[in-house]
Amino acid sequence: MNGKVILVDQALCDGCGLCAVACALAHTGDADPERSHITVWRLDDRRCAPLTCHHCEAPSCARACPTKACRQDTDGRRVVIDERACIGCRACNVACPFGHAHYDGVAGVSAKCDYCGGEPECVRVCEPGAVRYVHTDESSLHRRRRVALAEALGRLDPLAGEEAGHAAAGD
Amino acid sequence: MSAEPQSPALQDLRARATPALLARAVGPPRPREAQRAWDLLIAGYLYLGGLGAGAFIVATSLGWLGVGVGPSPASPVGAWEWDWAQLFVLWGPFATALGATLLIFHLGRNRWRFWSAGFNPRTSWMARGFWILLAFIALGAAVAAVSVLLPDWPGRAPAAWRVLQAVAVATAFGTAVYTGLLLRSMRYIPAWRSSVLPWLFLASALSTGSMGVVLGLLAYGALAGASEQALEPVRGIDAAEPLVLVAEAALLAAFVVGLRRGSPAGRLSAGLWLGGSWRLGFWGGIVGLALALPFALVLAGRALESPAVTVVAALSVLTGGFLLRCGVLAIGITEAAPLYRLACRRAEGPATEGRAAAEAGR
Repeated sequence: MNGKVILVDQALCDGCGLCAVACALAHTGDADPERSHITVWRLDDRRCAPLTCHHCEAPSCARACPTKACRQDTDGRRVVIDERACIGCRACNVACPFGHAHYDGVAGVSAKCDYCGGEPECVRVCEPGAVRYVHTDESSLHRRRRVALAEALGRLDPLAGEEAGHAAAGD
Repeated sequence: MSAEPQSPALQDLRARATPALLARAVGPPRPREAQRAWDLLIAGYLYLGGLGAGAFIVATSLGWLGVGVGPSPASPVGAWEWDWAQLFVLWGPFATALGATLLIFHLGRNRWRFWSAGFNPRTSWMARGFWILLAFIALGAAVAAVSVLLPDWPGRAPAAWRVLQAVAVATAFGTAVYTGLLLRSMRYIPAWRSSVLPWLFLASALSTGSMGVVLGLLAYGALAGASEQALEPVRGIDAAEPLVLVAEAALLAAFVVGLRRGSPAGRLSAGLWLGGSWRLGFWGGIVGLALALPFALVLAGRALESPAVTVVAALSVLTGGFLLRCGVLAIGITEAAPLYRLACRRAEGPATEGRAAAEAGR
């Protein structure tokens, strides 16, 4: 959407879980986080990692979809699932290396992050700013700054500032 | 936390997000769990697809070798010369159609749009499979229908009949191999990415199909009072079955060895079979029922000329073949991407973190 991607900074995540509840509510009207398109892993007592679709440049979910319900948007920035065309075969679920495409048993279709049409709910409710929706230029600038800072400090922490958007599958 | 006042929408969300819901929203890393999206119904689809294709290949090959069943002693309805004995061996396409029906019931709310599953053959093996299965079911059913209803027709147009049979057998081979290729196309699951898997499924399709045809022949012999006529092709299959089982065992061994020598997720998958939660299913079901027991029983049944022993061997192969599909689906662990491996090891403990960070940074 206008060259923007979701950028996740695990260092800022406090593990409140609001992003998952807000996502589920926005997409399904149900607050059940099992139906959310964003997952939060608790890595240890201090750290959490919000994880959502990478909208890969070569999406294996779209390749595996037999009906073309799961496809890349025409501008190539998003990978979306058309729930009217999805037959629920779950090929995209199995094909995704990150486990982001998932089957919504209540709706009877597969589902995944679609950036909420350009205003992601997870971003709106994330008070610490761990989940942000940024221009791709900004995200790459962020990554370059992080790497430069890590090199200056002599330590690379690959988990801080993971770019959720535009990663090639298997990255 | 921000000290700024919250918007009404955010306050409303906080009110709805109970502690229990929020607790469910945050969990431990789960990158090393086997997939659960494809379960028993997909195992049934893969199994019946292979069984039907294998049975059709075996039944048609028997006819080509001149040891097929029939002609049936008498037409069951009126004066029409049906060769109803063929129903007992040429049921393969219908078994595959039953498997496809299981797939439809696995689908979601738009399951009756299943016909759209062939829209993306350029990249999707499930879409390619749709067309392969459709071709096999249609052509196989045509061969079965002609064999049963118009047994005189092949004699009147032998060339056309041979071509129809050959194309149908080719689609049957395609169906048997496709069941493995579908899984192999999921390239982030090392246990399925194996190049051995399609051939293992083909061998299993032939072993289960052979035994399915044997059961059909024995049932026909018992019902029609034509035991000797039915036993001749059974003897032929019994002679070949140990060779198929040995080939299948070799492919299974190559598959497991490949997993153990492969990526971490592949080794985890092999571990589930060899000593993990699926060890009973692997050693008892896949090795025992699908391979070892029927190998011994088929040799014994041949020596003893005992249909009962052959029936037990056939049921053993059929059960083991189904467990093979269940087992392969059950060990489908996705290869975690580098960042996810790091997250997982962090959760496991600091001792492995440094090595994982170096790995993730590569």
